[in-house]
Amino acid sequence: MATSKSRMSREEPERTGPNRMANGTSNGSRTSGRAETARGAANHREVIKRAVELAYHVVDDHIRQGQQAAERLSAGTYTSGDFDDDLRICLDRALKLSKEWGVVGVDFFAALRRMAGFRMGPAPAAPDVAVETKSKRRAEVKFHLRPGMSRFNPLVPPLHSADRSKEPLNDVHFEFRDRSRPVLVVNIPDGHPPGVYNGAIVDSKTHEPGGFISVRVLEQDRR
Amino acid sequence: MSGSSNKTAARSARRSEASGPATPPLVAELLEECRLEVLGAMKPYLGTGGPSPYLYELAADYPRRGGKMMRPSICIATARAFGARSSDAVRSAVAIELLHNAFLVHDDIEDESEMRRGAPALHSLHGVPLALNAGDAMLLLSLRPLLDNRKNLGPQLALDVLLDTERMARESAEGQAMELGWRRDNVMELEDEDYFTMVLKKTSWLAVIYPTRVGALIGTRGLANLDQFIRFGFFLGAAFQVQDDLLNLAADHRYGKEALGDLFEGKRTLMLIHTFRSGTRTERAKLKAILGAPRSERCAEDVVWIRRLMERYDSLNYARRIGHGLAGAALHEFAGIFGRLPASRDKEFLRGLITWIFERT
Repeated sequence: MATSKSRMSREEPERTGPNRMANGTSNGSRTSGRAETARGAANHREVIKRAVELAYHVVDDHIRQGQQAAERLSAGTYTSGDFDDDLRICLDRALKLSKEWGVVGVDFFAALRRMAGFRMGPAPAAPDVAVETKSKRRAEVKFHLRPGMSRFNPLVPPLHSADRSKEPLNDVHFEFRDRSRPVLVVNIPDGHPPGVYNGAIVDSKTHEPGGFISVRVLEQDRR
Repeated sequence: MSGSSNKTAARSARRSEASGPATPPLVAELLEECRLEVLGAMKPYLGTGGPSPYLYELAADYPRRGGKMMRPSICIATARAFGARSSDAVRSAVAIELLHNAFLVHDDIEDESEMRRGAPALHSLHGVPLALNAGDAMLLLSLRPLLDNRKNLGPQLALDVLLDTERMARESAEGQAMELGWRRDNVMELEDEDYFTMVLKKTSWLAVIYPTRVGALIGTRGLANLDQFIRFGFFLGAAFQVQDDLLNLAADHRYGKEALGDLFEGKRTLMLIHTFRSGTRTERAKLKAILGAPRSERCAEDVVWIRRLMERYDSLNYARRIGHGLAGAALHEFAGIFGRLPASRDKEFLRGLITWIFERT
């Protein structure tokens, strides 16, 4: 006969209520198999719904943090000079990260920072202007609008290549199709010679410069 | 048709009914095409000469072990889906694979993992100092193809890709730090939200977010809205990680890593968090004591006990359901990003990956 000391006993429950676990291993009252199955399925759906909602919350929060970091980085006044700064910041971070990880080739990053090949061109498109390129050839469009030009009505005179034998790009203009953001339309005629075409963006009334634009026409056709 | 074939077909049909349409064969085909393309383009970047037997041969080891190269394939497919050519994206894809392998070398040391892709981990073969040095070298080797991007992408786009690489590296390091910190301090009181945050940083950024963002940058010549790829990449990456964690608990010889290795390493998986949350006070105390001990003191008996506890609380099914939910969210986000693009093999491949992750072994 077992003594009271060796007698098996149930562990003290720590919960004060029923354990309604989402996985359906509920220890609630006895129900029919069908009812339990239905409740299990509902619980499964609830697990997925809750998890996906939670996951959206996590990722949206992450995106918000990224946007705030990006805003701090560019501070809304992104100019061509900022490219070198961004590269420096990027490499400084990489250098710091590599030191934290104990990376041995730290000199590589230092050398990279000195690389002359990363002297940048003009800044990327302002975020509030869409770009529409009409061309059979592949083309890169870069432009910069001076900040604070709220009443600026932009006009793009013909864009010229440094090679005077090439025809200028004559049809580059802004369109204001609705109240949303303006669209910069770049028309490149078929057979236009490859090259870099530059020019100013001016105010249509005063002809004062308000920015610049550069279009690189590549040799390859678009897919 | 033989009896065996009939059975196979019936099994396949049942599986199809149960889990929706199977992954198109195109996924495996395109993975293989991209793998060969990336391996070829990687050769010049792997380094030779100097102390090759102590460095470059080690650096080339993991890439040669036959990984599926999902990450670089995602980059190339995304770039092509947006209109670029393979040749525009292949250097970035090489960098992604080198970075991934560099992180694996470091992760294996940090996690004290014994196996990688069916063979002993690099540090098990060569010792920690040489493996660590090879991992460092791979991080640096990955920068060269990114710098060479200037030749065909131009300096601005090459810099955009480099900036996103820096962001990915930071996010990955933060995610790894979260997990290592939890293990060092034996933190068990975690919620699913903590797991999602860790996976977002540790897994999703390198596995999907960064490859799709780089591909989209290249395909749109820098005009893509990159934030939308964070959502898609997070859900696909998280579903991938949950499935990877589940595979670890049911590992066989095809898995390539140590069976139950995650439990030996004390990794905070969705299943472990759920089991701890569901257990009794006594079970939680025992779980915490086992996971608080150094890995060398954690015996097979302990690990099997944890595995059985997971079964008891149905934690594997709990995680499996969440994995499927995350994959559903990935499908939703996929439609938002890629739905407007014309039909292509690459688009079909990217969509097919969402079901493919559940069919991996």
